[in-house]
Amino acid sequence: MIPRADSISLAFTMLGGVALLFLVAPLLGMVLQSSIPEIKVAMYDQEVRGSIVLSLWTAMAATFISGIGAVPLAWLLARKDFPGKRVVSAVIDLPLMIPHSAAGIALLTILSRHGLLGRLAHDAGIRLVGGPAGIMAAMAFVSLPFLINSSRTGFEAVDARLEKTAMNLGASPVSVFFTVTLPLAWRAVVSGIVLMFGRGMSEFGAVIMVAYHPITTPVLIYERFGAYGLKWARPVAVVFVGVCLVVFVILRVIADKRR
Amino acid sequence: MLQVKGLRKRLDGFVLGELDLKVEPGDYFVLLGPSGSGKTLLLEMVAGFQHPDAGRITLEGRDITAVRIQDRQVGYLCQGDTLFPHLSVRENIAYGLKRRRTPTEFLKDRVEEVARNTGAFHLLDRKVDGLSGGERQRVALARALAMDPACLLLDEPLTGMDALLRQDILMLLRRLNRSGRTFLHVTHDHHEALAVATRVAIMEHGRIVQQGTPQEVVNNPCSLFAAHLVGIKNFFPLSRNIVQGRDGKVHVATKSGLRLVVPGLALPRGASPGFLMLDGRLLTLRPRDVHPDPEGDKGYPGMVTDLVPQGDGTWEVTVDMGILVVALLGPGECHWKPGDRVYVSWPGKAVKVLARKSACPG
Repeated sequence: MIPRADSISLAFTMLGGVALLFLVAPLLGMVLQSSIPEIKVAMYDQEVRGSIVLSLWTAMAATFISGIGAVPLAWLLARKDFPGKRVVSAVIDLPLMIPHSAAGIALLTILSRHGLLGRLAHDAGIRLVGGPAGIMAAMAFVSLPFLINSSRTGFEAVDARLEKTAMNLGASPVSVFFTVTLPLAWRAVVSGIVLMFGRGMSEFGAVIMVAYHPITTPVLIYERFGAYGLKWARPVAVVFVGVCLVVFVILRVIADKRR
Repeated sequence: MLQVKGLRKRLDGFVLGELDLKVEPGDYFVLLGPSGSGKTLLLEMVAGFQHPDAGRITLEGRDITAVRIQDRQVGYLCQGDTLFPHLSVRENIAYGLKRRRTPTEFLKDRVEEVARNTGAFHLLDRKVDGLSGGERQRVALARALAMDPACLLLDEPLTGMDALLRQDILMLLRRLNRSGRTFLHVTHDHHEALAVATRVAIMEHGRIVQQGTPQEVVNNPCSLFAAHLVGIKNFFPLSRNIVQGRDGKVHVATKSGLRLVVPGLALPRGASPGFLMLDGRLLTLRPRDVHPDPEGDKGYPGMVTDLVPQGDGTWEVTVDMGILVVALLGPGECHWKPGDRVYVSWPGKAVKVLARKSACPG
């Protein structure tokens, strides 16, 4: 006799199925409506390739460069109490809530040649607006909360008694961080890195404000859609989604091996 | 020697101290107190995780009150599981030695030596994940001992262990103490405390209310709180008046108003009686309805309210005779059930009246 599913499992399976279908259907529709020759053309298109490479390396660089500050900030939030901690937490979540075009405008105020950072960079011969550095800044601005919040959760989950024990055994605070805290929070930090990288790579709103060119793939898809219509934009989108999928599978496999 | 002098700390509304403590080399000093009495806070101050508001902590003559945690030379086993889950047993034990940059050839020997001493040698190449509670505690002890601390602080080290494992670890702790290790161990469990201690201190609301050898504390608890904490059952506060009866016998009265005859009572002149202690093993219960001589010395009337088997064939019988007394009856001596009306009597040697000490609260 086949065991009967209980009513709550059945109801939740149906509701969950609808949510899942909502996520899968558009992607599946997009792939199924694109012919293989169209996808092949997009894959061999130099502009598409260039945009994908640019999106990948800028997102990666943005993740690792900002991670140098984001991971210590996450540790501070997890382990220390300080005045204004709630405000700092709210500020970190702000990029998740504001429109990304507004984030782009905000970034322009400091990255443009009239802004503080833009002027300093210009004096040093670095072009922020309309350059890879600007793209990285836009990607980092909107995706940093993912790395900070995930790492913070990871650090909070590390039992503080283990850190105390390590200090009692003679480890300095820096040594405790690198030999106990980080190895135990590694999974959450990597998850944050993957999320931040993914969110940064696919960023459109903030990036287009700061740098239309050099062109990243999300901007290219938008450009082709505006100039030539859905038929030309769709294969590029399919190729980009495929690349994203491959990259994330690889990152997850690497992260799983480290566990 | 670990010495704590005038230690005070206010933390989240709780006040610890003023507190004085002396742990001599080779002592097994147990701080016995209920949850929230400040035991862990005291250990954290000795280990350096909390800073006192006032007072001094010295270890072997060196003032360590403001010394960094890493340089204190006290080992500290926090309550619960503190093994590093991402390291093997060997790596766990070697953790502190590596931080000290111990030469590799010495490190291996030292790890194996302490593992042997704590019965963890066969676990050295295991992962931490698969270890049982007792094995984990052995490894944690080995890891702390590898650093050769002048004093080892243990915070409720037997929490969550079954009876057999507790015996096992207590035996190990006693052996380590006999080999010269000094311990400061905090617990709320009197069985645990009395099984290992060479000295005991009772903590209540952030203060030490009594300290001494286990025998001193058990034979002469200074308050109802201290008596209950060391597991004494028949301990009653007395009113201040001692009455010499017309029969020549001395009568005392419990604070609940029950008057009892205390044969052979000898209190120093001027001392006021504080507490009455009855040895539960010497109490006798007799049925009330079949007593042959209603005018004889029949004892005190009461009613059986509870019976608890002790596992070794003995019984703990609670009798309400105006105060609740607990009689310990041997195998085959318990013929009672709750509700039975009995007479309770005792020989003179079962009774002890303790003088009230002015220094001791409660």
